[in-house]
Amino acid sequence: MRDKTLTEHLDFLITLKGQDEATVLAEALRAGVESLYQEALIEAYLLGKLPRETASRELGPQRLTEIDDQRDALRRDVEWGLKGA
Amino acid sequence: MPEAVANTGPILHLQEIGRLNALTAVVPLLLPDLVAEELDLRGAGIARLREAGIPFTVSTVETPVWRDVLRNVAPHIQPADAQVFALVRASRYQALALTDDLALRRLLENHQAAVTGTVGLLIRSYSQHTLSRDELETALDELFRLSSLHLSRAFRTYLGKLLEDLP
Repeated sequence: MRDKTLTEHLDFLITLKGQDEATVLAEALRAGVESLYQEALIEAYLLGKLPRETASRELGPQRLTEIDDQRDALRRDVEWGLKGA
Repeated sequence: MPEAVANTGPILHLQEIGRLNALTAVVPLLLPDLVAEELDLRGAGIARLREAGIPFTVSTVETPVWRDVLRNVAPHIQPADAQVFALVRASRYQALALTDDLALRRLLENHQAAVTGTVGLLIRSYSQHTLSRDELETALDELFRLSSLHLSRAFRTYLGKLLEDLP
């Protein structure tokens, strides 16, 4: 089912952009790798495996602030949840 | 115990993963009228809360009140969230606020209000033995994978690390 959807989406992109399949797939690969890279950076930062300076340089200071805020909110959620124990 | 004032997020997200019963840890709920409207629009209306046996009251927050919040306190939040703020403020910040919205959370915490989100509610269910450890993990996985919370997998991994020592 997922493969069918993927094929349909690929066909849609080829038609819409007027590009050949190889070009669309190359663009998809770049976008996919970039997305996975950003995700891995965030995870490494959250787990303390990536210095803040590196994360800030790669993700941008504003994005990093958002990540910090979300991390702090999750941490407080956990603390609040465990108070009921 | 003061009521818990909820915005749309936690109720919607819990409904999306079939865990509305996590709200029993904080009942009775107080829902601003715009939140009730949003839930209805998203198919997670108050009828679902009734079916799940969650006690709640819908409170109408008059337009001048929430518009004043938007004008003078927090122009960056949504009208329904301004209503949540108004109700928590009316409790002298004693009511618990339920939200996954970071802007609303920051605003309320700046006034020393207690705030928690969907993750907190699920973990409280575990703490109160309503969810087993396995059920908690499943619920958190589904929250990140299936719900409209829109938090990346990186945060799920981080959450797993925070919870790794739980029995």
